[in-house]
Amino acid sequence: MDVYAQIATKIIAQQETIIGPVAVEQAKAVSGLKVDWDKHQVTVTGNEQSVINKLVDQYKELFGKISVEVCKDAASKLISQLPADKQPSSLK
Amino acid sequence: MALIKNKLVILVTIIFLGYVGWWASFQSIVEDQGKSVQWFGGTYGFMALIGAVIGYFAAQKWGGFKTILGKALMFFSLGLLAQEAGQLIYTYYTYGAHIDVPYPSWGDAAYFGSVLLYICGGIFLAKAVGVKFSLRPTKSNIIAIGIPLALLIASYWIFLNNHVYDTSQPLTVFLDFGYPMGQAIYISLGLVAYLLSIKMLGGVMRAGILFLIFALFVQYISDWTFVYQTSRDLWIPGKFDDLFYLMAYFVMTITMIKFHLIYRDLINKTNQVAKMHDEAKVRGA
Repeated sequence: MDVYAQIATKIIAQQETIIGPVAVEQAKAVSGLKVDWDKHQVTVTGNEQSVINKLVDQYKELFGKISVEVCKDAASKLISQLPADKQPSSLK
Repeated sequence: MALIKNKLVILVTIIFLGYVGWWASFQSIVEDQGKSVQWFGGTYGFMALIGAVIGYFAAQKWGGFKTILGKALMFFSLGLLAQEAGQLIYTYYTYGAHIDVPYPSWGDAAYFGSVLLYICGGIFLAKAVGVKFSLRPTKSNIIAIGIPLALLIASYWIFLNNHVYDTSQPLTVFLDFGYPMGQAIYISLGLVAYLLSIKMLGGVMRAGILFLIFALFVQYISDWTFVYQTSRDLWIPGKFDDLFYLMAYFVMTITMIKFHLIYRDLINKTNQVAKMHDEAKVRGA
């Protein structure tokens, strides 16, 4: 699994601990993200940075900036594996 | 607007207003403690029962005991249920068994249980809005520690300063101390959740969370008034404190319905987006 897919997985999992299955449903609504949560498999297609940004925005619609902070927290260890220009802007 | 037009909200509001009308009807003769006052006192907890049932289903939608928000809603619902249990037990003692309510009694097990359940709800509410507790001396931590501390001191000073404890009855001493302190803890958690999240909290959950904090505040007003009045022998069944409790149950019930509606709207919206994606794929193919 590439880093972006891992980031998406971490974010969904973290959101799931707060709001449950709704978190998965929200992720499924993001274009460019294919989610098979029974297997914990997430595939990111297209512009990967943009897809992660859309995922973060999707959660932002729930709790506002708090959701963004939760996403940043979830992805904090993985984000450092990406060069600065490849990091999704929403997680910086 | 969706909340106001919701059929369940309308039904719950009609029941609430019915009880308010009933309460107002006997205020001129409340000191007589007639049948109307007794029946009112024994039945208005029905509002809490409605809230508990709706809250249970709302909590299940948000993941139940498996998620932070689900746990918060579940504990508040159980708190409502405990309130209703306390009311029924007190009613039984007074009007069924015709005895003075002993202290402590099984009613206190339910009422104090509700305080503990509200504290648990408050902890998970704070966690849901991202409140993190640590020992670092940041502004957030000063708020998170300072507010509960101030409220605990204030509660101690108002309710327990010069209080004569009956040390031969440890459970009584525990409850004398536990009620005002426990209530100060749950409202502190609500205030901390509010103050530490208000700048960051947004989105569709904002209204639900703020409703929940407000419901906790109204519950605290009711509990505070009750403890204050009973500690000074001022409490009379059927007067303002019963109205406050009725309002607290009503606000919490509306809050639970709000979380139902947020869930329903989110799922509807998500399904619509998924449908649009499917249609776009079909067009692309």
